[in-house]
Amino acid sequence: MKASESVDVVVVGSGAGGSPVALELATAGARVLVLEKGRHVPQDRFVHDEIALRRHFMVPNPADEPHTIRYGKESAAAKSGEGWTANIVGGGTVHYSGFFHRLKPVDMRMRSWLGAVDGADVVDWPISYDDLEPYYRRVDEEIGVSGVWKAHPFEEPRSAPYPLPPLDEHPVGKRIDAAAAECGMHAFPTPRAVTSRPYRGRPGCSYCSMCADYGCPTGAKGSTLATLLPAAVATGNCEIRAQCMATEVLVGSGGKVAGVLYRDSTGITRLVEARLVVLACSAVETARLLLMSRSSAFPDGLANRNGLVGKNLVFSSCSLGGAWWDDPIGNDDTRHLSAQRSIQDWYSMDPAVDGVAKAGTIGFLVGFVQPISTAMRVLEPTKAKSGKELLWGSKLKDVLRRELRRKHVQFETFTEFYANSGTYVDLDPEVKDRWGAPVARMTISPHPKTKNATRLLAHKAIDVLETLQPDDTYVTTEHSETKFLQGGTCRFGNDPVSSVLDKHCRAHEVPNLYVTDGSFLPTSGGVPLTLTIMANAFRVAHHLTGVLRSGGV
Amino acid sequence: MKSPTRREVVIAVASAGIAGATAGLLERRRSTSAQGASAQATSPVPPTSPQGLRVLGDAEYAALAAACELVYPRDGDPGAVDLGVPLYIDRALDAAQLPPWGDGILTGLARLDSESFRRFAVPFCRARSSDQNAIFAEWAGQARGDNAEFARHLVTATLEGVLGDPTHGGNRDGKGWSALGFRPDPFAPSQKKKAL
Repeated sequence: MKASESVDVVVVGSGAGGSPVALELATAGARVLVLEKGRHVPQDRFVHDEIALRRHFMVPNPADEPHTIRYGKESAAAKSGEGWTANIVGGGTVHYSGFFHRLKPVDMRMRSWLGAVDGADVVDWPISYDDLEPYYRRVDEEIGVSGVWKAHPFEEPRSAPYPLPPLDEHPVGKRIDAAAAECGMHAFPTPRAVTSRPYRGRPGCSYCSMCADYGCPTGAKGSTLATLLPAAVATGNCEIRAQCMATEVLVGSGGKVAGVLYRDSTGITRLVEARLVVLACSAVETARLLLMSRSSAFPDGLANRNGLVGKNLVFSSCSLGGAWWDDPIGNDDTRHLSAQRSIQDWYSMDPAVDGVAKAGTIGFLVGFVQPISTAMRVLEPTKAKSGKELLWGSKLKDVLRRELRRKHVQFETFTEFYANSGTYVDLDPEVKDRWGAPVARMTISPHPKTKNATRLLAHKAIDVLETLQPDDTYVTTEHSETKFLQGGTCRFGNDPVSSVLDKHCRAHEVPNLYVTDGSFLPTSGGVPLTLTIMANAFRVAHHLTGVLRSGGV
Repeated sequence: MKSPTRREVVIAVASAGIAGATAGLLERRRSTSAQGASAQATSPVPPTSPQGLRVLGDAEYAALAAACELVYPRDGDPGAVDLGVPLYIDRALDAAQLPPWGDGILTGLARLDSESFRRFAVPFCRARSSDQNAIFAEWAGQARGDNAEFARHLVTATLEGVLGDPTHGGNRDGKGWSALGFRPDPFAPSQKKKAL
């Protein structure tokens, strides 16, 4: 181990959870070190290379750093690349689509609304939507969110309009509006973390439509790499140290943490001491890091005397499908435009619909734009229709020529995942990463209500698409988990017995340890989690600024 | 100790039973060479290798080119060889991260040649098109096993070579994209300088 250095704050992770804390505390004058296990790729170096994407450009190589996954405690866990959010400076915000839906007030009081749910652990949050709203607004302003205020009757309360008007949209968007209305639903422009106009030195969107999975070469997409991190560094108080993976949080005297051990880009293990440690390396990896940080004071893992670290893992659940048209659906623009439409009529229902009280959001996209995955996906339905036949030769070319010229609208849903005792993260007892550390094992048991909710949304999405009179519709997935939209492994709450973090996301058991990624989430809500993680991180950072100024740690 | 070549690494990670198959391939490579240029080629694929192969030997390249052309044949549009797909696969096998389809490619090619010799007394690349088709169709139609996996992997690798960015060695001049109606992304590696 190399000689240590000392800073005020170590933040582990440079994505949605870590960057707001780094910015706010560095602005307040604290010396902040951000440890990021991934590489730093300058924005102008980003290209849209599908081959690189297929070789894990944004996430760890699963051969070196797998997770393991099993469905049910009795199943064998299998190695997987799933569950990693990202492996790059900026974290998952570098490759996200930036669908910036807020949670709704009902998401923070699920227990009060639903009561006890058999087989699930549904709780109220220790804070309300009103507590979070100012920080949602802050994120809107920092990131440059585009959207339309008061565009539908299910919108959450907002204190200000979106900073930017909506992005230009594919003509099919208006057709989805009409189809949804015919079905009694209310489609609205999807709020996006993408600039529709030049904003704070960033250009407006160039409409390449490759937000999902790729880094944005222009900075129009509001990753933390393009927004919060440069601002944090510009304070002169923040250093982002890439290719440095935290391996243990060390316990010092007085029940506090003393600092973080990390492996640097050359493989050398180093120690950085800090007054304050903030973990934000994704719900799965934060749980893993805490569980690996064992000491005499915390023999079962840091902040884990109640055994809850890793428990109550939640995801954004999803269903997937779409529709095909043989004839053009209005795509005559030289730019690649998104459908830009969402529906939230089925977010929360009273009375329940088809037995579902809580579902989430349907999103519509014009797809596909990545040629290889498009070809592979196009072959899948064909394969299904023709048994197990592998297409090749002239038949393969004919199918590709026919199918790839058809027009396609996809839907995806973001649905409540009910926390339950069968869904959690622990350390795999057998599988190690390339450095010999145990990998995170995910055990997943979706609650029946979760499956019913994703199925309901899939059917409602198909209802809308059928109204557009396509030549074909399909559902590829009625239920799954979006494993890079993860939370809940250190849920926050007022009771130290039933939660890991307090309402400020400070560990109940460790006074100078905070967690600001999705780990705090007691419920998943029915939207992508990233915006809420950012907003909560700003909320916690505001609290921490006061703590540091008062000498509280 | 001499560090292993990329080719040795590719072979080492493949499944059991490879050693024999590869040794057999090396033997056959000599006999293929002995047949010389006068041998009557019945495949549309020329057996000559391009310069600068990184992993594949000449015989492997010839078998791969023939197999890729079966998967993505030239018709009114370019085929796999026109688009440089075998070259793409050679480079992909040399990349820092072995593709998911990479493990069984070399041993699969060895088995293709072995099967072709057994049935038709010529390496795969010199078998008649109908004979090549017969072998590959049999493998592609199997539900499981090494040969079925090789066929699936070859289709995936070929589609990557047809539709990946031209900077990786395939999709020559972007004709894999244009033949299927894809407009190049302005931020694709081969396009970005033009965009900026």
